[in-house]
Amino acid sequence: MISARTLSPEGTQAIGAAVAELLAPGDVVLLVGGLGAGKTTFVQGMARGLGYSGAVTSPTFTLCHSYAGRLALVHADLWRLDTVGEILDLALDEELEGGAVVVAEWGEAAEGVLGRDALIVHIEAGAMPDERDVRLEPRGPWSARVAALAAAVARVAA
Amino acid sequence: MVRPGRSARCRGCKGCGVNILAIETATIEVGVAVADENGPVAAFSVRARRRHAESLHPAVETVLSAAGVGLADVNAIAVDIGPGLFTGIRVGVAAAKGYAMALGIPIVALTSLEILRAACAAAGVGDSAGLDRRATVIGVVDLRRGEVAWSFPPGPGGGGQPAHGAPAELAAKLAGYLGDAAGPEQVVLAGDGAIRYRAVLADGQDVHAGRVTIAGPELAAPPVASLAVQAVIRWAGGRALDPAEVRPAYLRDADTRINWSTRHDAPGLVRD
Repeated sequence: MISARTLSPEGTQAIGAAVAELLAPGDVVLLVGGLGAGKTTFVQGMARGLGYSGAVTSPTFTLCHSYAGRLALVHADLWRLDTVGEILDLALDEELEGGAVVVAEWGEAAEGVLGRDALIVHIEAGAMPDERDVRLEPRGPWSARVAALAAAVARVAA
Repeated sequence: MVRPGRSARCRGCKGCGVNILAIETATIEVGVAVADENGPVAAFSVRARRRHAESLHPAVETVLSAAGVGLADVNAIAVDIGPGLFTGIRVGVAAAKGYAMALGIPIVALTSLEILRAACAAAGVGDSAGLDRRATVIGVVDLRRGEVAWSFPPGPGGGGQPAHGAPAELAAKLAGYLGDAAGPEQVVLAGDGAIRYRAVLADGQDVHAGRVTIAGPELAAPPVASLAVQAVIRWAGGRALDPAEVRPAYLRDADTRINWSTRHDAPGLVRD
C-alpha cells in the first residue's frame, strides 16, 4: 500500500498524473471514495498525465467518457448501476482488450468484475478542508510497479 | 398467386417452405443469413468493425433484399445466444426478440458452441450432436481477459452444457477426455478461443500429440449460415421458442446485485 497526502485539488490531480506515467495498455484503476472525495479530480490528473488536454467531467449520467492521450482512457462512473450485468454491459473488457486504460469511479462496485488486476485508489478526507489521504493498493500486474509508483507519487505528494 | 390453404403471408414463390432470418453477433463477427428448407439463400458477415449494433440492421436489410424475402415472409428468427462477448450477445438477442415480437413469430436459439459444432459437421467433421467417436468438435469461444467458454458433448462424464474458465483448465479437461477409453480418436477445437490459446490447448499436449486439431480462422466466429440451417431443422422439429422464453447464455451471473454498502450508507443521499 502506498500512501500520500494532498492539501488541494491540484495536489490530487498531481497524484493522478503521477499514476498516469506508469499506465500500460489494458490497465484498470478503481477509485474508491465518497461524494466530494476527489475521484473526478484524480481522473483529471490521469488524463492530463496521458497528454489529454480537453475537459474531464464525471460521467455520472453518461456512464462512460473516453479521452485520447498517450493511451485511450475510458472513464466510467458506476454510481448509478445496480447489477453486475450493467457493469458488463459497459464492455470495459473489450476496451481493455483493445489497449485502453479503464478508470472507474465508485470502483468498489466492479470489485468482482475487474478487481483482480486493478490498482485500487482509496481517497478519503483528511483533517483540513481540502486535505485528502490517497492510498494506492496495487494488485496483479501493478505489483511489479510498486517501487516506480511509490517514487512517482513521492515526487508530487505534499 | 396465393393458393388455398396457404397462410396469408406466403407468396407462393417457393412452395410451402420456410424462411429463417438468422442473426449472429455473439463474438467478433456480425452475421446475417436467410435460409430455407434447401439451405442458405443469402448471407453476409463482417468482422472489421466492432460496433455490432450499427452493422446489424443494415445487414438484415441487405440480406433480406438479396434473398428476395420480405420480413412478412420470415417464419422464425434464429439467434446465437452466446456464450461470447456480453455486448454482442445483448445486441443480437434484443434484435431477435424485437423482430420476433413485432412479426408475431418464434425464435430458434442456439449457443455459439452448438453452431461451431454444426459448422464442422457440415464439412463432415464430427456430427452436430457430438456423438461421432472418430472426431468430436468442441467449440471454444474467447470470453476475453483470460477466459474461454466450451462445451463437451453430452456423455457419461456430463458435458452438454457450456462451461467457462482459464484455457489451462480446458486443457486439463481435454487431457482427461482424450485419456478416457470411451473418448474420441480426434478432437477438433473450433472458435476464436481455440485459435488464441492454441499453444495451451493443442501444441503443449505431449501425451495426446496429434489428436487435437484447431479449426482455421474461417471458424473463428460461428458461421451465420450454419446457424440459419440448424434453425430450419429445429423449426421443422417444433423446437422454436416464444420470444419471451429466450435467455442469453452470458455464463457470468449478470443479475447479481452490486454490493452497494458504500453508496447506500452515504448520509443524506437519495437515489433518483
